Order: sequence, then C-alpha cells, then structure tokens
Amino acid sequence: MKLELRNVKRDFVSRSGCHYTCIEDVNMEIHSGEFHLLYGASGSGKTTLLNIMTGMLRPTEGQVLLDGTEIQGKKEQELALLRRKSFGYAMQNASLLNSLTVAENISLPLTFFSGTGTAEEQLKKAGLWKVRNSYPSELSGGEYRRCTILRALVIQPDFLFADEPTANLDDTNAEIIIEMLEHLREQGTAVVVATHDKRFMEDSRQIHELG
Amino acid sequence: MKTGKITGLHGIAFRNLRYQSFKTAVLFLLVCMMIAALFVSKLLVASMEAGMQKTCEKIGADLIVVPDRYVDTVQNALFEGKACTVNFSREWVEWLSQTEGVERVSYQLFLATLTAGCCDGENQLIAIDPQSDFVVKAWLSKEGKTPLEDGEIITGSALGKKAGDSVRYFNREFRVKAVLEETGMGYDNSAFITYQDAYDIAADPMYVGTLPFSAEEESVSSVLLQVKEGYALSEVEQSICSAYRKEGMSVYSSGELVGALAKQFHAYQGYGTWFEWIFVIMAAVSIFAVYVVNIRQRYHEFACMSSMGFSFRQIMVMLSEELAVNVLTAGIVGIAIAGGMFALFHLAIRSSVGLPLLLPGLWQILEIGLFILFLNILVSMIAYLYAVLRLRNTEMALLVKEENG
Repeated sequence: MKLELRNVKRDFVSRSGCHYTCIEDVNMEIHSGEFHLLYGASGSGKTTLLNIMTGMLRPTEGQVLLDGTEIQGKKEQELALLRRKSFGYAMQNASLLNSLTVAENISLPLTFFSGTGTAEEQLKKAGLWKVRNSYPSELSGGEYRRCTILRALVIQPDFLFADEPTANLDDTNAEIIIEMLEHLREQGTAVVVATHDKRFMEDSRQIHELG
Repeated sequence: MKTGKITGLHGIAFRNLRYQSFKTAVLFLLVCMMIAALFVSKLLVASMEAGMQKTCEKIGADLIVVPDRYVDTVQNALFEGKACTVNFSREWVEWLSQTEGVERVSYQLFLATLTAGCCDGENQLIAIDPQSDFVVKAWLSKEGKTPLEDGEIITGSALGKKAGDSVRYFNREFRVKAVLEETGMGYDNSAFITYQDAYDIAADPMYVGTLPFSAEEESVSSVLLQVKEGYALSEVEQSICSAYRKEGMSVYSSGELVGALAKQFHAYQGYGTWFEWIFVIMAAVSIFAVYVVNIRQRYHEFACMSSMGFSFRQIMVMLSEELAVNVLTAGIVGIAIAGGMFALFHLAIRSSVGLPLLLPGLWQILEIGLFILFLNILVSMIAYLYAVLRLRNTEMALLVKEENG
C-alpha cells in the first residue's frame, strides 16, 4: 500500500484572528514496511502532518492519496472507517480513554468494531498483562506509551502513526517502544513516527526534517 | 481478563459516568437542585391559585358584616387563621335579617384559645349557630352535616384530628364530630363549637376577664349573609351601609374580602410571574452552561475516539446517552424530592405566605412536573445541539488544542 502527500500545506487561524502557515509544500511517499521519521523541533508541524495523514485534519492545499485515491475529500464517516481498518494512530496526549481499563482500551477497537477477539496475547507480549485492569491514570509513563502503541497496532493496520512515542521516557522504556515499532515494520506495516528524539535515528529509516 | 468487554456505545457512556463519579454526582446534584427549585416555585403559584379559587367558590356567604375597626382582624382570622377575639352586639343579627333582600343570616363568635395548659394549642375557636350556619357546612362532607351539639367540635383539617377524637380547649373536653375538608384558608387552623359552649366558657370563673365578652352579652364577631335571588349584592350592601353606618358597621361582599386577598395574591403573582420567568431563564442558562462545560471537557476523549475510528455520529450517540441518563434521572429525582417536600411542608409554607394555599390536583402536579422535565430535556437538547454544531465545524484533531485552551 502507498500513502502519498503532494504539495501539502496547512494554514491555521490563531485566536487573535491571524493566519499562519504551519506546514507548506510537503511531499512524501510512504510504502508498506517502511519506517519514516518526521523529525523537528516543537511547533515544526510534525503533529499537524500526522493528523493530515490520518484524516483528522484536512490540508489547506495539496493532496493526500491512499493507493492513488484522494482521501482529503472523503466524508467524515469514510475517514473514520479508514482509521478503523487501515490506520493505527497513537496520538501524543489523547490515545486512551480514561474511563476504561488498559485491557478494555486496547481491545476496544476489536470488540467494538469487529465484535471478536481480545488483546490478551498482545498484552502479554508487551509486558502489560500485570496492569491490564489498571486505568490509564494509574500507569507509568513507559507503560502508558506502550499501551498507546498497542492500542493502535491491535487492529493490524497497514499504517501506524505515532506522535512522540518516546517523549519523556528513559532509555529502557524508549528502547522497548522502538523495538515494538520496528517489529511492526518487519511484519509489513508502514510506520510513521513524529519525534525529536535522536534515539530513533538509524540509517535504515527515512527521515523528513520539518521546520 | 477480569474486566468486561465493551461492545456498545452505551457501555462506554455508562463507564464514563461511573469513572467520573464525582463529576457525575455534581452534575446530577446541580441539575436536580435547579429542577427542584423550579418545580417548587411553579407548585407554589399553582397552590395559591387553587387556594384562591376554592376560597371564592366555597366561602358560602354573599356578604360579611363586621365592625369597621375589626375588618383586618376578621380578614386575617378568616383567611390566615390568625387567632383573634372580636365581638360586637348580637342585635346586629336581628337588624340585618330584617333588611330587604337578605335571604339568610348566620353569625360567628371568635375566641382565641390560650397557649396555656388548658388548651391543646393556640387556635381560632369559632362559635357557630348550627341551625343557621351555611358557611361551615359547605366544607363538610355529608356525614358531618348533622347539627353540631354542645360538647362537640368540628376541627379544621390542619389540626390533625379525626372524628371521634377528643380535644381540649379552656379546660373542656370536646368530642370531634367532623373534620372540615382542606379549605386552604384560616378555617384549616380553626375549630367550631356551639354558642352554648362558648358562653359556658365565658361564664367559667377561670376565664372571666380573659375573654372580652360575657355570657350575658350575646356577642357576635361577624355576621354572614346570603342575598335573595333577584337582588344585586351592591344594592343590599348599600342599603345596609346607609341604614347602619352610624353603628360602625362595615359590609363587605365575599368577593371584596377575597378580592383584597386576591389583590395581595396578584401582587405576589405579578412579582411571582416575573420572578418565575427570571428563575426559569436562570435555571435554563445554568443547566445549559453545566451541560456545555461538561461536553467541552470531553474534547480530548472525542479526539481519542476519533483516532480509533469512531465516527462523529457514534461519538454524539454516546454523548447523548450520557446526557439522557443525567437529564432524566436528575429531572425525575428533583421533581419527586421537591414534590414530596412541598406536600409535607405546605402548611408551614402557607402560614409564612399568608395566603390560601391548596395542593393542586394530581393531574395539575403531573402537568407541572412534565413541563419542568420537558424544559430540562429541551435545554439539554439545545446544549447537545450546540455541542454537535460546534464539534461538526471543528476538525477532530483540533479538539485537543481547544480543550487545552
């Protein structure tokens, strides 16, 4: 599968009414099994670009194509379906529902949309079995990040998007996250990570500098 | 896994309510209190209207004659049940019965009971002539309509007695013959005895000097008249006034006495209507604000659900389920609590308001309850639609920023 960005631009209007351009003229091609890094400082537009790729934001100009089909013009319902089936998205600050336990959060996309399966196996593999009955607010930073990744990959998406998955994590926890993502890429999923964490830097990964 | 599977939107809605139990409880309490306050204010106005209407319907007499200087006192005794002792010569009864256009005459004598141990409470005791009475009878059920005898008493509904009980006034035991149906006026706190019993009390050496009349005086406190058919009230009123003005007689039609009360009521009602509408608007705005703030605090969660693949419609259905639970439970509980409290304390409320107050019929109470519930549902729907419109015009990814801002 291929996700393609052509001349993507996104403007915003601030509260004071000023227009400003967040990202401009972004071109990118993401294929299955690739690992892409959106690298840049805070405010460089990494999150905005991820949101545009997942259909959570629409570009002001340019095209987002999935296997040659424009997605930015799709209806909200169709974009939701796309996220449900093909896009796993681990947002930085909004990836788990606080009122559900870890196990419920992770298996929610499976139980809710397909009506089958639990994430028991994945929880064990990710070392989260112990905290399966805890609420997100009770988790450590490392556990929380692993949960968000696990929740995004549980649907076995074609594309996995992760926003700052290792922010504020120690080396051990960051390594676990990076391994999880790498393992996913090896299985054929395209992984796109927005980060300013140098621990992600590796020759095999495609780096897109923003800002 | 120990935790249950979440398979429906209602499951998420329920878990949200349960997880944020403090916020849910605060929201519930806020809405509940608003609804209860609104319900009580509407019920109060309806009770006043019911009380006024019944008083007008059942006051029985066309004209009431009292001495000039006691008009307010008698009015207070009649409508508010304030105990008083007023008396003037019984000669008036004879004079009035001979006036042209007067069909029937009835008279009453007021005796304020004492707070001392001799009496079961401070009530208005009213002596009536069972033969000529047509006022008290109007409030009695069929069984109580046989003439009152010496040693017997008819009690107002607020005195908490039932037929066959005994009650003690001025060191005398009276057997309760009947209980008046609720009048909404002073009669509810009054008790009725025969003239003979009143004079016996006046003749008791223990109370000579306590009561401002003696057994020999043959006093009365108010005279009540029914006018013959074909005569205008104003005509009879005028002829009594011109004949007996010098005796210090004041003649009021029941309508005028009730009218004075009605004026007071309308003043209340006038302010009340304004106050009620201001209150309705304030309550509606507060409930709206509570709902909108609650929805705005959920943007983070909506964005999270959207990233998982929940559609906008699904998120809104979940939100509506949560709102519905709150709106209906808080509304029904608020109305039930307020209704119960009002029914329990309506007598105390009546004495503080100083107006006839009758609980409206069940259907009217239901009508008010349904109106309040409808208002709550309407406000919540407006808040919900406001949220839907706002969310529809906002890209999901921006919600997180909005909530943080």
